[in-house]
Amino acid sequence: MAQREPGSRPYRERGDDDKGGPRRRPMFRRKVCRFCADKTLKIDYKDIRTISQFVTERGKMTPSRITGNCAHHQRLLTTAIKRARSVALLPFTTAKS
Amino acid sequence: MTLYETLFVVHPERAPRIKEFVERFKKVIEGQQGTLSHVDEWGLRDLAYRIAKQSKGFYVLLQYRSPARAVEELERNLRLTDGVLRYLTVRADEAGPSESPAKGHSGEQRKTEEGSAMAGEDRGEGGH
Repeated sequence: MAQREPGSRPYRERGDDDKGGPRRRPMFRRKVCRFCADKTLKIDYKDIRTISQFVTERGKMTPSRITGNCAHHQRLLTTAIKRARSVALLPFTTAKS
Repeated sequence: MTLYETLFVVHPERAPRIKEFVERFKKVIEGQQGTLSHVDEWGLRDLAYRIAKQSKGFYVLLQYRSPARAVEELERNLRLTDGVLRYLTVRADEAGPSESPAKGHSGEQRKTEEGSAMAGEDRGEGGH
């Protein structure tokens, strides 16, 4: 059941490291756009498995600053998420229950 | 002639008669010189949010090659048809029909998602 625990998400990997800023830290590992690295990975609004990795638990889109996506793929991702939301594949927000 | 795909969500109570819906929309597309290339019934899935008081919906994906006015006509029909909760038409990737991503394990996946959503609430959302 715990196939996707929050810890495995890209934006959780580097917790407070981000605060120092990349240039000041020698240990900084450059984040690579996952879609550029793996050309077979397609961004599709129907593929919620992939897309939900770039959305927080609350349903917000994670900024590319955190995921490391390049501008082009972040743009594609944005439209895909919005499309998925409009047909109720992804939530706009998670209501407090 | 362009390759389009339309995803629509049908009210769960209408799900048993889904074939009629598909048949009807197929006629609409073909009536506008389009050819339906692929019909993919994803089945009853949980909706990410409630629509018309329903938490489930029957998803169907149509892929077809047609002139643009077929899309107009199809969307008009989708709007008029009772029981269609949502629809979305996009120009499809010419590279070929993508496999349906969410078949089968939809229910399970939503559950895990809800589970992690709960966990996220305790932690608060990144608000340092």
